[in-house]
Amino acid sequence: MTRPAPTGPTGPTGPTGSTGSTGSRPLGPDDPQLTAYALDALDAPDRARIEAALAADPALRAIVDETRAAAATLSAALPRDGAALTALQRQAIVLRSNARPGGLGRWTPFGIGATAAAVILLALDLRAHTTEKRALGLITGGTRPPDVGQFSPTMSPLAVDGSPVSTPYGPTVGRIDGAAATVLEYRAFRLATKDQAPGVGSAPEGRAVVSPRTTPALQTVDEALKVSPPGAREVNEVVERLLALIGDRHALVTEPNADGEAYAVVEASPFLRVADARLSTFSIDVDTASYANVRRMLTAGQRPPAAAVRVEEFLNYFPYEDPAPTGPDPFAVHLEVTECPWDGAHRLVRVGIQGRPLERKARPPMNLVFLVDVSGSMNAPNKLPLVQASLRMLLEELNERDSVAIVVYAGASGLALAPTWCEQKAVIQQAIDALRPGGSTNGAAGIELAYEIATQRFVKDGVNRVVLATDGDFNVGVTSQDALHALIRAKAKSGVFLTCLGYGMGNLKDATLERLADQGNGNYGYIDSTREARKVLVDEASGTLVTIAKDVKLQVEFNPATVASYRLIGYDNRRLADRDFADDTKDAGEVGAGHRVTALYEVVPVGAPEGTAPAPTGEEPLRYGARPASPPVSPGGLIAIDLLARELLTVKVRWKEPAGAVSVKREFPLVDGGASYGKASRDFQFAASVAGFAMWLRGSPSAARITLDAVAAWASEGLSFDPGGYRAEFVDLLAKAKSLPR
Amino acid sequence: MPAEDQTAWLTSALDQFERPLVADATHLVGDVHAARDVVQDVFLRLLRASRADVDPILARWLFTVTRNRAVDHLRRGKVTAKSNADALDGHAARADAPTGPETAAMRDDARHALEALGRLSAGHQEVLRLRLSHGLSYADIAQITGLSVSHVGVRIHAGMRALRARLAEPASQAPATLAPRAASHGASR
Repeated sequence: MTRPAPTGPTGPTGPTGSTGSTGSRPLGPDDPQLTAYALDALDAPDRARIEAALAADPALRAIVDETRAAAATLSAALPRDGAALTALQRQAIVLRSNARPGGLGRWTPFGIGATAAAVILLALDLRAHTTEKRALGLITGGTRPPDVGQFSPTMSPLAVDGSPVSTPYGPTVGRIDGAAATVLEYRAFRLATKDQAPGVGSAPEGRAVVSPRTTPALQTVDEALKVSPPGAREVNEVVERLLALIGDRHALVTEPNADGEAYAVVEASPFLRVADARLSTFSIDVDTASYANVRRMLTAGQRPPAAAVRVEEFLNYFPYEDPAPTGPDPFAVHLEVTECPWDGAHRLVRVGIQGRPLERKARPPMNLVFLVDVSGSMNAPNKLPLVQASLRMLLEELNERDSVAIVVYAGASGLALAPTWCEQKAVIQQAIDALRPGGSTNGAAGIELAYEIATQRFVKDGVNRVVLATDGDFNVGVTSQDALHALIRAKAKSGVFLTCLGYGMGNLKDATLERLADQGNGNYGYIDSTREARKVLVDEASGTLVTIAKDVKLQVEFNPATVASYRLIGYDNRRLADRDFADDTKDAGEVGAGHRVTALYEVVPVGAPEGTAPAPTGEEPLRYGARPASPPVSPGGLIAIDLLARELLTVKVRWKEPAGAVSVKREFPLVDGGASYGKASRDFQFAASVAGFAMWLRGSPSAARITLDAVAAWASEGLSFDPGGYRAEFVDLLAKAKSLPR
Repeated sequence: MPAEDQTAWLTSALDQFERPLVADATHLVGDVHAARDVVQDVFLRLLRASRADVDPILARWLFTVTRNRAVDHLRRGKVTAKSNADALDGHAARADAPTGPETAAMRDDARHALEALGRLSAGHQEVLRLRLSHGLSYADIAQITGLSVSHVGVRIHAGMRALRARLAEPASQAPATLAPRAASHGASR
């Protein structure tokens, strides 16, 4: 059946067919059409034409026969079928189709369409085989190619004409719309014209980018730029401030450091005049990851980038003595005010919130789904093995009422352990031990599967949580960040919350994880040692996993009679618009059992030197009159008025029960007794020291007069209360920071 | 769409295409484990796709996405594997492609056919496999590989020509250099 074949073209024996339409040309032995005919791949007209040629030329006929024989031989030798998927893989797929008919619904790539496309286009980090043109077609409404998932969610801003905006930091920006887009557009313009004097440029000059209501301090970009003349860095910083004020947390710009770690850059807030902004509103934040992460860097002899230092996460890392609530409320609020240690003319206010601790025995049953990143990047002693150690520790704390499942994700996602009651600890132990690193990260698919499983075993009145353990490298993913956030938000509403645990060093994507946890009504911890694993997962397991209050918001109303200006220290990415305080549809942070939250305000009293506060501008009337010295007489009695006039501020707290939809409000007024720093409580002194250290690390302007020696001195009184030894470790860390090369 | 309907559709697609796709992916990525991951991902994507759009072109869609995912996988992988992705994508020749199963008992013709296939560039091998192993149309193959239909025709033709020539050789002339490579075959069983 195999006869000597023509040895191919020895010259121009025929068209080698760069096109399929050979027209009426004579058919040569080396015509692709001949092969196509032999393989039954031609349609009727072409077939008829070839058959006519074959009838006239036996040599061509022979070639067709040989081709058919060779094709049959190869076809028989080539197995059509490969291996089947593993049972787990198949299960994961079918499970998903069961639970989510139609999947995520109509696939809307990156939430484009509503607002963003008109102002700014997003360039997608394309897989190399995809042309940029195709991607842009997708964004601007072209039909979706079958494999949209090949686009990574990593985006860069594009100018309106589609050309990439280059910035010195190569920012990665999520979905942007409205004012934020204008800001970025402005930045592009500013960076392009940064060598010119301010005012030379044309287009966006003087454009108000946000309403005065949302930005009391910075009403236009140009006003902001008067504060910081527009070098590239300054423009970038101003933009961050504006974005923070706008409150578009999706539009955080990240600044990768040398190791590829990305941190959201959010500028600390300046002093605000009470005349301009009587209210300060923010969402509480019980995260502590920033401190552990910075500790890791300092211990390794590195200076942490400013953006990795989040003051509130430093403050909330440490246990305080604040008494737990005695009444029905889930937490107690403690207020204290003394002299500000870094500026004697200022007052420092500490707001301490102590969540109700939960007896371990009293805790509700847990339905935990561990979502473990087993991608290749987790193959390091301080990553996957540490995850396994953490899980083993947590497993010891669980009992037969609790259920654990493990989902792994790497190149693909799979169920490594079906939901298992904790009476079968050996089975769970085995699954933990069997985790192996390999493949690349596909976090989004894993999160979806984990949520499916958590939903299936939902425990009413219990703890239903997905615990994500990863180094945060979500670069290789299926979905856009927005789709992922939308999924997590939707699941959080159903009662399944998300805890993110960051592991390892090198490519920890801090900002990604914090935002993920934030979307999922969850919290985020950074785990760098077995000790930290024990702290987060065991000592505080009840707090990390049991939410006692959700959507906890704080609003501080300052008394213009006593306070000239103030600034909130930290919580830079937790600011809320004042009107969102009473708006129960606005999401905020959660408090877990035993959690504590500390916030500090630096307050400039009336009559004190303004310091770095902005000088008064304009003659805007105050709501309660411009002359606080002459209080209005009221029938209520002078004493009450006198007390009211002496109040420094009132802290208002709103929260919802974990399953509630309506918030509860409490108010706590604070009168300044004029205490000096030395009279402050141990907790207060230690918190001030921690904040001072964080500000020093951030290099913030307010920290110009802060020295590490002073920080250590402020902490000394607080060291006498130190369960767990965390405060002593803090002092060690100060020494390490001091030894860093400047 | 009702959940049962969706699941039935998915199960049928799995039954029909799971193994062919793993075979295809195994050729592309050279590792059955990675191939399974790729194919699982493909089906997870299928869940998100619009069934009305995909169903009429299911085979084409599945093979296209499999190929794209496989290329992604190779690009993300090690440097050595990356050259495979370049070969697939840049249409460059690849001399050491895995060619499929080979057993001692295999008939000479089949062995020679696979040898001949193995000597072709990755791009030529791919179009031949899609046609001869999976029976896809030239148009489907063009869609999957990103080539024009006529380019697919030219590649298949050139591949078949080389194959015919190899099968026409006496068995004794089989190049000895092919023997060591047999050890690396068999990944797709």
